[in-house]
Amino acid sequence: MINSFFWVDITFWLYLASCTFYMLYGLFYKNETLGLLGTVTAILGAIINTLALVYRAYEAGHAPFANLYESMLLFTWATVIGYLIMEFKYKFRIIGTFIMSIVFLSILTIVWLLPYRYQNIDPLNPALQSIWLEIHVITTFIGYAAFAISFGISIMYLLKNGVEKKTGGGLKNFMIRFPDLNILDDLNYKSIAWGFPFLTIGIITGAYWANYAWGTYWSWDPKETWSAIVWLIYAGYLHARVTHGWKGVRTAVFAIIGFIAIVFLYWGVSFILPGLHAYA
Amino acid sequence: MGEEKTGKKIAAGKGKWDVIEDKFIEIFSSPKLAIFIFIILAVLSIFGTVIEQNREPSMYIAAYGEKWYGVIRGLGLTDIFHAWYFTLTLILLSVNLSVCFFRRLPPKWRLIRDKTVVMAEDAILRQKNSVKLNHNISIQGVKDAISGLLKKKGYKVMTAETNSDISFFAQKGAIGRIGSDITHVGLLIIFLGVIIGSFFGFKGFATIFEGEIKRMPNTDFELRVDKFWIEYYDDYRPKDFFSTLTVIDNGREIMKKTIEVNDPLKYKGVWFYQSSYGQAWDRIDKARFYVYEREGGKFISEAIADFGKEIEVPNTNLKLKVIGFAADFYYDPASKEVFSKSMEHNNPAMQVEIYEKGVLKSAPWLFAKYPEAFLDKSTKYFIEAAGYQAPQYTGLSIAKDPGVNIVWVGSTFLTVGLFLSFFVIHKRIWIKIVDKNNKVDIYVGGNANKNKINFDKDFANLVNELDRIEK
Repeated sequence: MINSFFWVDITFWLYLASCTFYMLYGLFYKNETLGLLGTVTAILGAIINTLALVYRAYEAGHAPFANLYESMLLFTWATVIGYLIMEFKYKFRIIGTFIMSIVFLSILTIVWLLPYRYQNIDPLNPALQSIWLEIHVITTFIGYAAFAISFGISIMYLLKNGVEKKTGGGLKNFMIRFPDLNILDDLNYKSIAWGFPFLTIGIITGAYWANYAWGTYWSWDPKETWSAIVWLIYAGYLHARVTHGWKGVRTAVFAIIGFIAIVFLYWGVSFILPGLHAYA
Repeated sequence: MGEEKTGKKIAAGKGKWDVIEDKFIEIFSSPKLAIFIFIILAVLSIFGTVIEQNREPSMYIAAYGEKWYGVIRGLGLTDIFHAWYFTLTLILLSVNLSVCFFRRLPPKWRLIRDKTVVMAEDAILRQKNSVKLNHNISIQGVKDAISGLLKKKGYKVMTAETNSDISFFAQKGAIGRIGSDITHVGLLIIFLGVIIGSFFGFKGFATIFEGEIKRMPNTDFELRVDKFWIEYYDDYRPKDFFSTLTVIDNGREIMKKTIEVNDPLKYKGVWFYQSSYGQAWDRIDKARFYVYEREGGKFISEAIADFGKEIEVPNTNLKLKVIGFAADFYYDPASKEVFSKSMEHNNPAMQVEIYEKGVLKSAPWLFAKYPEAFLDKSTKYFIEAAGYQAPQYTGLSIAKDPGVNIVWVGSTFLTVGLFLSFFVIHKRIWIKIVDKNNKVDIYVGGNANKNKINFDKDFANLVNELDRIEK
């Protein structure tokens, strides 16, 4: 029977294929066909991922952003689309090796790790029944996706930087093909320049909605507080880079810390810290 | 004017206060301080999520022990977001933002307003991107073409002409230069809204029964709940809660609205939110009793009593009257009073007067969950409280926040500022064409305030098109 789980499965295999093609392209062969296959499967994956979200929305009767499982499908979707835009604009296919790995690991987590009860379609609890669900979640996840891309690029930066200092090394041929350090640094900044305004809108729309649903726009709930922490980290990155002239390793490390904080904001807070925002 | 003033200051030498002022401005406008403040706020916030905030002391003692609770409390960690040092850090941030704003905006503003059209040839060639071209074409022939080209690319163009040359100044996206300042002002506006809200606003909570009229806390009007109901999904999970409310001000019905979660009632700046619901904890509408023979346990009959009304029990000479109810029964030995120790129906009990042949025999508390806990032996019957119906109340969160709209204005500034500063690039181009006897020299120079790689491409394209003009 064709349902959203079917489409999620197909998405899973397509992302696995895409990830594998990019890996082969990056690690072993300088074969542009492999890279092209990576891109094509990523595009197909994004299309099927869209279908999975649409089916899920149809089955649930509401926007498919009501729990961790559904929001992770949105995360992989936004990250792949964001990456594909970047690939078409800047033509650095090797970056796909890292971004599609992040995407594949994300979908692997929800398909294999997340207990079944998290995959259930739940009716929306009263607080979630609002147009702000769509606006708040979509803007937030565009932010998350941009930060995930910046995370992948930062890892590449650190790897390439490490290799350039040394001579030789097993993976050197692979890393030599990464874009130049200053290009990686610039792409990292560009990703964050997209992520930061969207995260900001996500936080503000969340506050606006909270004011409408609960009568207070900010209550230092763990989710709110961690979103502020993440915001501060990236605000720090931007000031360090734009105003204070930091570049390279330090800003890459900054971006990595930022993304670790996002993972905690997204998963850690939901599982560890109790609060109002207990859905995802 | 401004330059004159500075000149005088330097001439007079710097006084002690000037030095202190300069030092102050230098420290408070530095990005280092901003980053430092971000880190402090982030670290304090992490404490605020790891240690649960504003809980009851017993919870902290259970989690950390008596001694550590003292330490945590003493350091303000149980309410860190309202601790003096958190507020101080926010004040520092505000000072930092303000100083930055007043220091950085004026020069940027002058640059935005600056419309130097005529520039010397060598000054044009000193720009970040520049080139010199030659064309075999008359100066008037090339003028409109250049102007049209720049306009087509979205630039605002200004020109100045002399007998021998024409100068162009073209720019776009000037507003992008002050994006960060707009963001900073937005944050300050948000802080202002928060302060106004915390001084002139309030939060409250009220429970109102269906049909009840109640004066709302901190207001001069009353609310009546006409109806409260719950809608369920097919699997009996609650879908939504509704209360039909009527505002009564000065004895007059002003407005009526059915509120639900995510759709509050607003009156005189006070918002009423559907927040919870429940059953009364101190009264009931109806009670149902089963009456048995105490010896042998033979069922005799059933009776339903309205609260406070005497009823007869069929097939007996008993009369019952419910006179009290407690949802979570508690007897206080000191005051000898019974009350409900919570709003939850954990141990519902009702007090019933038992009359036999018109004579009051006793008035025991009957426990719905523990029917045989205290056997009343005043008659030969065993009376069981089999069920009850309590009136429902709606729980309303009440909030007045006169600063909230200011917060949204600030948020808009903040967001617009971010998009301006990331995506709107200030691009400036100067072109001078100099007449050389039916030939022209074209000097082209320009710069952008960010995304220079992108501007390099723009500039190369422009030069290409300028090159093709004569053909």
